[in-house]
Amino acid sequence: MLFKLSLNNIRRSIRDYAVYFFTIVIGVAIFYLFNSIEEQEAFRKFKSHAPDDINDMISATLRGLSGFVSVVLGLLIVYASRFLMKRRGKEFAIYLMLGMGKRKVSAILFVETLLIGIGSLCVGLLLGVGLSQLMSALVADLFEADLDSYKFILSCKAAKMAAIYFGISYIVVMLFNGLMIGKCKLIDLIQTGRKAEKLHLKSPWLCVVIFAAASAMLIYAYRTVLDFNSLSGKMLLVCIVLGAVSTLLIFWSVSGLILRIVMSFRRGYYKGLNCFTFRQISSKMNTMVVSMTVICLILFGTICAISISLAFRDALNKEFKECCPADMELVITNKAYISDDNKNKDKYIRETPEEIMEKAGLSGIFSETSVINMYAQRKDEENIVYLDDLLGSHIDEYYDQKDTLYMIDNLDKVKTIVVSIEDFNKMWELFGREPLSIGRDEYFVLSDEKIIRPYLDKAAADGQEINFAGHKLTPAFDESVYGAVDMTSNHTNAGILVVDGSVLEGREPMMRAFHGNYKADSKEEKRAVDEDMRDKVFEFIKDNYTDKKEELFGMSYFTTKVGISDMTIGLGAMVTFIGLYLGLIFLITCAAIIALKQLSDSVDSVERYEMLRKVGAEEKSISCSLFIQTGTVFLLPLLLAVIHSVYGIRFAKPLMIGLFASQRMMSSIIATAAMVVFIYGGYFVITYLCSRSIIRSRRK
Amino acid sequence: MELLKIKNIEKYYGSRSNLTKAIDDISFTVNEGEFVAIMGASGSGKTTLLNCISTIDRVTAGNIFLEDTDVTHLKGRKLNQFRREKLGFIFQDFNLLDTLTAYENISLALSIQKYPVREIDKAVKNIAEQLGITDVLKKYPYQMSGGQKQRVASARAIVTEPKLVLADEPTGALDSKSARMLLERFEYLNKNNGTTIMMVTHDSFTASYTSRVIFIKDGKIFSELSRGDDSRKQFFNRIIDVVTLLGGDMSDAV
Repeated sequence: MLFKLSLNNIRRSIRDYAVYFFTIVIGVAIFYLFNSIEEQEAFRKFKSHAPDDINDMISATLRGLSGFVSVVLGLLIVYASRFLMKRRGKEFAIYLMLGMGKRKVSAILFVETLLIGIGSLCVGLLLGVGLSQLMSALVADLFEADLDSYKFILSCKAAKMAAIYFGISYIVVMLFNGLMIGKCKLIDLIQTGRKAEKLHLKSPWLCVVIFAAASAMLIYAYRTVLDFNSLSGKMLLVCIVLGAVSTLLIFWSVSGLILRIVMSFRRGYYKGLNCFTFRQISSKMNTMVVSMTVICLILFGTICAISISLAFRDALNKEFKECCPADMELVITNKAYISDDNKNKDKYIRETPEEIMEKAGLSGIFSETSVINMYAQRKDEENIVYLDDLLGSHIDEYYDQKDTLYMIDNLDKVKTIVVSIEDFNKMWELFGREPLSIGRDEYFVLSDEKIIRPYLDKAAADGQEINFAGHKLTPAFDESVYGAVDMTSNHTNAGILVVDGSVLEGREPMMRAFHGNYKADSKEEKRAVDEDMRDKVFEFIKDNYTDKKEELFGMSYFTTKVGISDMTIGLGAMVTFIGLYLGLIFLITCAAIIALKQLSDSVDSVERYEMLRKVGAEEKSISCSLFIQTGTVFLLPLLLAVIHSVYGIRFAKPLMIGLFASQRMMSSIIATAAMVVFIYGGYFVITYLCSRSIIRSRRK
Repeated sequence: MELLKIKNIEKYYGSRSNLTKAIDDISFTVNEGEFVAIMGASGSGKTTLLNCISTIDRVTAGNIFLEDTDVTHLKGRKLNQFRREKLGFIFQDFNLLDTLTAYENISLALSIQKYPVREIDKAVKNIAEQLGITDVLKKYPYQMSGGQKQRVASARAIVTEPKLVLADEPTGALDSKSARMLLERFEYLNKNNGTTIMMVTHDSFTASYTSRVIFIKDGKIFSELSRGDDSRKQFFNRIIDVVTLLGGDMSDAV
């Protein structure tokens, strides 16, 4: 009997339940999607190549995020169930008045939640499985992996997790509902439908003052955040709090002001349905100040997360192409350079990099090789060239830069590395570039670090003279040369001095850097050669020296294009994935919150629209009024969020991608905008259409 | 002059096998400047009659003429326009918009009809004075008493100067003092402004303020009373007599 009543209840209040059901289905689907990512073929493929530390990082990040997502979705369920409870107060009142015990009413609600829960879990999982098939294509693209064959993926682990997690959420909701029924008074239940609208207008002057104060706070926060020189971690936190508080205050004051402002235009206010429309907007906003603030902040997070992660990936991929001109690099410290009082001197590698390759039986794998000797300046030398000497009079300009976080602040302590033009040209040719020639008394600087390079260029253009080991040298070109010796995943070479070989005569190099290109045509072949090469080098080290990292001295740098590529693609894909995923969940969540609120408002306002019709308002103008109302509620948080994002992105850009040369974010911003417009706009349209059908439902 | 002419209207509900005749061949006319009450027990068809006249419901057969327009043939936009310009409604449960002030509730009726803003203010203040609600213009419905709400609703119905004001149990939700005050205002509007009012009620006291009462029973006109030169008290007694004749189920009449 109880079960039958519950089932009938669901059937009867199907429209109220539909919104609830829909929200939870989306939640379950997203939860499943997120947790099934590890089962994706492309993801697994990528993981098998990636180094352990990246894999660990990804797993840890996914676990953390999944917890975070759980909390967000859990809150959504509680919110949706509260909405439902509110709608049905009167119904419960009737049960209670008929003599049904509170325990029994709770039981009815329990059965209803259970039914809905099981139903939504099943539908959500089905939807999730379907969507994950779609996702696999997207993920494959992200990870630049080819999916050989289509494979149906069903992640039992993710399904189990979703079932357990949502089960717990439902139990919480049931307890919560039971508690509410137990606590509430009959009179409150009966009167839930009756609206005692308490619309006291806020004092306009207070609103103006608060608005001005909030704007000032916001501007202060924006400016502080963008001033990297004086920004500390504590200040950043203060700015974030300031931003959130001012957002709340702005919504509070705007909700009070908007009506006053519109009302002062008498001509517009008393035209058509305008006075009704703006009263509705004002009352909606008054009840939504907190949720609008939350939505605005979430949207802000969404926009930043999506656009920055997309840009990050673009930048990484571009960097990678520039930074790896050769297939592999091995840098070995010259044992002869190590001073005799170093107690580990005997443990240093004796061979040059070429000798290692030969002894490891690898000389055959290369199509071309080069070795560049890198010289350091000793402490006791005269006329040491520090990095700041290369900048000349532009050193102050360099230190005065405000918009970057990554500044080397002790240029006067960094002794430059020196290489000879002969060695340099050999490497340069291997990199596929044109050799350069300089005179005996000339020099140039090799640099690719984007913050310092403009000033190196200026110094070179000025003819900055330097004094190296008794030689007076002048710049060979009127700018620095773009590039680096070491292959890294990003541009970090501040400056290497390139001089004529005669200047370095009699010196012992500190390090030898070996570059090589493989004899291989296809990608797969290269990968195979690469893996074989790495294994053989480590085998050689193990056989001749040690297999413990901390006991190995002299191998300064050993990297390959394939290794960097795996890391770069992995990092880029992970950041993009997390950014996109989080962004989409946030977007869907906050759009769903607004939509739910709007729909419940529409149900409450049916009477009002009915009255408007009786007074003689036309259907067209009623729809128009509804459109303006829904539009305002959707648009206002988005508007402020966009303003926040402009500064948020400007702040995060140097932080996340400032290391890289890429400055263009336009394409990723456009992609983000498209995503936001599509999902958020879609929700808006659906909400408007549903609201319209709700307010038309009683028309005869 | 004839304002409203109802000719042999019928309204059926239900299917062929289970037919209910809510209105069964009713004809009557209302002249301009009249104050008419329609009385009857619950289920007698009086609200259906009002709904048909107000174009909210459609008749099954017959014609309703307001001035020269046959309202039973109006459709879509023309119907909306007709309802908006020619008719004014007053409901038992006031039907005020709770988010708007009294002033805005009244002005809304004008702004929907695209009145120039300049004239709205004057018209609202004028009607408010006539109905004695100038003090409450800035208040919201929840801050007003039932009587005040109903007078605001009446102001909204009358401010557009409709040809015919239709009131459905306007005193139904009011205490007797508020009811009397409202009816006195109706009387005043009828006498001074010549507003034609047609009111549905089951309350003899309310009906006694009008100039003519039409009694309906089982969808048919049962009887009709004209006040003539009687005082309100005398008219009331005559109404009570008819009500007694009508049957016991109107015993709730005062």
